[in-house]
Amino acid sequence: MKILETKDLKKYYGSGETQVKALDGVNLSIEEGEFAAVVGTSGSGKSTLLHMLGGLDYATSGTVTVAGKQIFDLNENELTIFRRRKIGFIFQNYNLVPILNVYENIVLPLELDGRNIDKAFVMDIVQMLGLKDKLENLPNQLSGGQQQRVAIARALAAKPAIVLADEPTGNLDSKTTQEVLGLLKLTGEQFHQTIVMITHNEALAQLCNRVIHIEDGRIINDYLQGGVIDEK
Amino acid sequence: MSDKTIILILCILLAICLAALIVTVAYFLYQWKHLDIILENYLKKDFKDTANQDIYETRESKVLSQLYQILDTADFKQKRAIGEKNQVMELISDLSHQLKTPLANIVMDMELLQDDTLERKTQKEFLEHAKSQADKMQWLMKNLLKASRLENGIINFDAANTGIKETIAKAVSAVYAQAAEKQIQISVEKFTDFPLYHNVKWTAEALTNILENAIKYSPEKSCVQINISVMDMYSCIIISDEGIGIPENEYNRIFQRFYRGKNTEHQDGNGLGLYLAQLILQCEKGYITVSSQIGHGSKFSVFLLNNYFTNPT
Repeated sequence: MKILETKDLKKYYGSGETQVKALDGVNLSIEEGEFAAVVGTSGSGKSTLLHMLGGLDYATSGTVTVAGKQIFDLNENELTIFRRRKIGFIFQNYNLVPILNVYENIVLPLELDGRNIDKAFVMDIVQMLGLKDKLENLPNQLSGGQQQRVAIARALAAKPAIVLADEPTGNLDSKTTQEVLGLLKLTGEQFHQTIVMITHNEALAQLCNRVIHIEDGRIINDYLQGGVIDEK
Repeated sequence: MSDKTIILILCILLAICLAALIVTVAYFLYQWKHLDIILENYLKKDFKDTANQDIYETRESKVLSQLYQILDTADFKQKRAIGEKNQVMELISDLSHQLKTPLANIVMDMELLQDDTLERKTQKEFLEHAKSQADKMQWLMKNLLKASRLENGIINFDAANTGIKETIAKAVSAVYAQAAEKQIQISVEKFTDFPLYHNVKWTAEALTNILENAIKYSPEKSCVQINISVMDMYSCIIISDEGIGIPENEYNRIFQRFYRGKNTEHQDGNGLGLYLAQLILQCEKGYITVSSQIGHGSKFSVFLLNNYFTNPT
């Protein structure tokens, strides 16, 4: 089932001669369970694409459909709640709340939504990410890689339709990067989570089963790994 | 106040209470009906929720939202189990199809060889051609067997937290002769054995595939180095060679089925070694990455979990 689909997505800033075409007709569809990488250099439009997919901004034209709903048809309130329930985010700089401990950070989105916390499920995630002994720690007592693992746990605990990761390993050294990506893939598979990762680094896309190249606001390449090669 | 007024007030109050009760009941009936419809649609495989019912702040909306999650997960689990098996089935299908061409070539060669008037030289050419086709068929059959065993393995892939030293030893001894032929030295970093989550036989096979490539694409008398690196959650077996290297834009493609790098035309091989290796690693919750520079060798990192706890989801 397609969990995410964009149709002729366009985002233009400004007008006339100084107009910037951040996204210029993007057609993309992500199947449930895929671990997809969107690879592009700075200015290619990948961050804009992420903002569109996450409903963080409205497009100039075109549609984004997440879990069967066209998100630009929703008003601001509906979109906020939709984002809270259906989309998980992982950022380059972890964005953990410094005064809450690891466990509180992980369940924060659930508490904000007033949902009952499935403790067993949360503990499964915690176990898989090696955070069991660190639940009482504060973020500043953890290494970068550990903090990002907490961010991953937080995104997974809410069981969103899709997790969007913006350069999740940007602040990590190469060894930790490999680990964190491996865990992202592992937990994504284990907990049936679709993940879309934005990165400028081609080498990082190795772990993904779907690689999409973006340049000048357009998709120039889109293939599945592990299948027979099929390039545009 | 007169009795009549009191009775009137009571009746009005009663009517209001009744009305409120009816509205409440109607509201809940409506919500239940809606949940009912969703469950029905799930059974009929229809997932659209056009009423946007699950993005409000109401308690019912939250329950609806969670219901969707449960249904999605259940559906997804089913699909994934089929998906993994399909991958290998596709491979088996590909391999079987590929048998057709060399076989047809052999038949043609045999027919041509039946001509008594052929020169010795031409006869020899046809015979060599037929032999190479037969070799190809043998290779395909070998991999067909491997793939079908892997397919069975996927159904009950037996991985455990077990020592990695034996696995590496198995892989190295499998390629020892091949390395010796090119006078290539395989050197393994000294380390004390420790457990990793993996299947010994299949992982040794995956490591062998990577080592075979390292040897194939390395010059004579060079060195293939095996190192271990332990991290927080994963450990990694690093196989470095001094071979021709792999360009960055091919990093992802070398793991594709039947893909052969642009610099490999003069070497034997059919593009399956790395594909199978990655598939095996996936089954044991691990993965392989590559890092390389043209002309400066390649480094393959095989990641395995330090520990794996089976969990009920």
